[in-house]
Amino acid sequence: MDFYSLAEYKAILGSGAILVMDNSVNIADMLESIIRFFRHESCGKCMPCSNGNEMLYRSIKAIKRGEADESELDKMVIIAETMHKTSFCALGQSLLLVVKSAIENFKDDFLTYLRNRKAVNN
Amino acid sequence: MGRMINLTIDGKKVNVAENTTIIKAADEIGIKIPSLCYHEDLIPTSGCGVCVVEIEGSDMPKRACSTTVYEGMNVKTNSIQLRNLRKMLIELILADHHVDCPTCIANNKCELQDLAYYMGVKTEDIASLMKKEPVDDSSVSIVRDPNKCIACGRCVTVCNEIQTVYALTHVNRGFDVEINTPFSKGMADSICINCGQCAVYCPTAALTEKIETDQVWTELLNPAKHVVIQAAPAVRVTLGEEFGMEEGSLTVGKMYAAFRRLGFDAIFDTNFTADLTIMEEGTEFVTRFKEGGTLPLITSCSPGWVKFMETYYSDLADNVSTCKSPQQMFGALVKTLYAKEKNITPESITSVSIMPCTAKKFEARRSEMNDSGYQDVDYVLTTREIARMIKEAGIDFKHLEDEKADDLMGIYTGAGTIFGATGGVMEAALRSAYYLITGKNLPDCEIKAVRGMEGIKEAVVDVDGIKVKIAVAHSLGHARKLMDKIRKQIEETGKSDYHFIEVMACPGGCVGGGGQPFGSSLATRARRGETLYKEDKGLKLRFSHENPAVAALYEKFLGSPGSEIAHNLLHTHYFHRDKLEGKVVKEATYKNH
Repeated sequence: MDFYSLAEYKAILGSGAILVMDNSVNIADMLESIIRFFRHESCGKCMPCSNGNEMLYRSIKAIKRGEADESELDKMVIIAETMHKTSFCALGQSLLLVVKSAIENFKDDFLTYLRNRKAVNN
Repeated sequence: MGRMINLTIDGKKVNVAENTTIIKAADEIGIKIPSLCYHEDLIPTSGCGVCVVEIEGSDMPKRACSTTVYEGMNVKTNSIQLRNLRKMLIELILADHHVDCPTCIANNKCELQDLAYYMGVKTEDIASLMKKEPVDDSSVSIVRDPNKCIACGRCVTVCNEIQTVYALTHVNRGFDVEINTPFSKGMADSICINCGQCAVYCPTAALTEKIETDQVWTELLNPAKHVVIQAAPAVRVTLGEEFGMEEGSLTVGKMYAAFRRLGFDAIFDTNFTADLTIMEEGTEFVTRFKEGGTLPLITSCSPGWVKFMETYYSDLADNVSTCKSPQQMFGALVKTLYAKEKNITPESITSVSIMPCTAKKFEARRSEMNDSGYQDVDYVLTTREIARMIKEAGIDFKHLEDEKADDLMGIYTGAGTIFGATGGVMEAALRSAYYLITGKNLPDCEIKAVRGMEGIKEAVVDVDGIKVKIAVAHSLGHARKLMDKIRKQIEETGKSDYHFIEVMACPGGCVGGGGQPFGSSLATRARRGETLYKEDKGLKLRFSHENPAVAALYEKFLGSPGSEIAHNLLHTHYFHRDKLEGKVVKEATYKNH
């Protein structure tokens, strides 16, 4: 397992830490936790990262409250892509991988989650 | 000059010195890359990311403001990808910006508004990230609105790197980052010297002057009030910019006409008291020079500089001229001499000044500036504020017929008008000092060595065989360097080899003041200065001592320069200030010994 072989799976080794989750983990909770971490770590020097993280955090919060629809997920990917391409350092650049792979690989989970939340809200 | 680099931008070849940034290289061939936090005069903060460009061979876009060129570089400044990125970035910025464009002071001059408009960004589609925070209007000069701040950092750069005042800094981290004063105590309780360079460089309206136009309208529309106006030298070459005229247009006649239409009862000119300042300061210099007084003599016209000196160099306060600035000399005269001449009570007079400056608002409210028995100058408006009043009144400024100022305090010489440019006060003072020492006028009254945008200008002027060593500094960073040198000379040898020093707080002098039209650069300031020198060249009277109105003032009212009444009305004293909050600690000099 190294950077290159993991890259084939569009995954990153990062600092070498591995986070293992089973099916019981809610993908929205996982994404919120990771975005919260990045938002906290953003230094504020460059706007794409500081405002981008804040916007992503508000989006995932809205999703968790069931106050969003599918387009919110698309918006999150666009924001993360913008952050990836315009952030000054690797912190703002690397969140894309998490956001994009979570949303693309677990889209159905997100949509089910949103439907359920909305049903509860109503 | 280093190596030259060849590169291609949007298919156009360009050859620039190594270490040039892409944005500057593009500018050389007329390509303006969209940018927001970048300003050509300042070290890039690289904050916003709007200026990203594509570079062949690099899979990530790069910031044009802070990426330097290399041989064979191939840059693309526009593409679908870049447009989308820029639009998204502008949306992210607007999400955390108080959008109130129609009533915003920077409306139509806001760089964020321009970009959003050009790119077709729709504000209603953007989720708001705004947390409303209180506006800091504690200072009499500068208002800081954190809700409009986009944390680009330009103000921090200009305050710390160019002015070396250190009144603004980033506080907090991440999304909570904002620009504030040290310890977030508020502008009034900071070491801010009110120069307003932060406001001039702010791309939005997060930093602006404290607006006083409503108060001035109230006075103008009150029939019981006699409202007197004075306008500083540097205003006549920038006011036109606010009405779409070419940069550096001289609009003095239109300016008087506009003042009259606004309803001011007497239209006067600060240039008149600039000439008066020269008479007082020139005499002060000659006296100190001849009688072995404290030298170098340092000018005191710039209120930003005066507060800076009181904060950081109050040990040199004895070197600073005791002369008030032209604004304050004018103020003291209006409520004394003018009131007497016109037979009106000083209480019914409202004294308004139009200044290129935000620090003048602070200066007018200094507690010692009341030698007439009243606050000498009641309201100070910036060039931007008076332009708004002229627009509100529906005056077609551009097409106004030229008019003249009123007699008594409206006549000026070329020496008075060049006060507005860096080096101007020095040049004007030397013209008259030469006369005071030799009884003759300088053969060539243009002292070119003190003109131009060089940070510190030095020269030795031959006054009838006596060598006078002078220096001129503009921007407080340069003033700091010069003062450190003088302080060191005095410490080491007991005296400095300079005789006369001019300091202006703002880069370029008053033409680059904090109250001048938004969106300027050092290049703009240089052009404005050139116009003042052109006006001087075209005037018949070019020596302050030849101003007939100033001569009449001395004859009728003041006696001679430095007389007791002149001392009482036209001179001042200084304080020690603490370096944390800029508050007065104690007196540094005394007006009456």
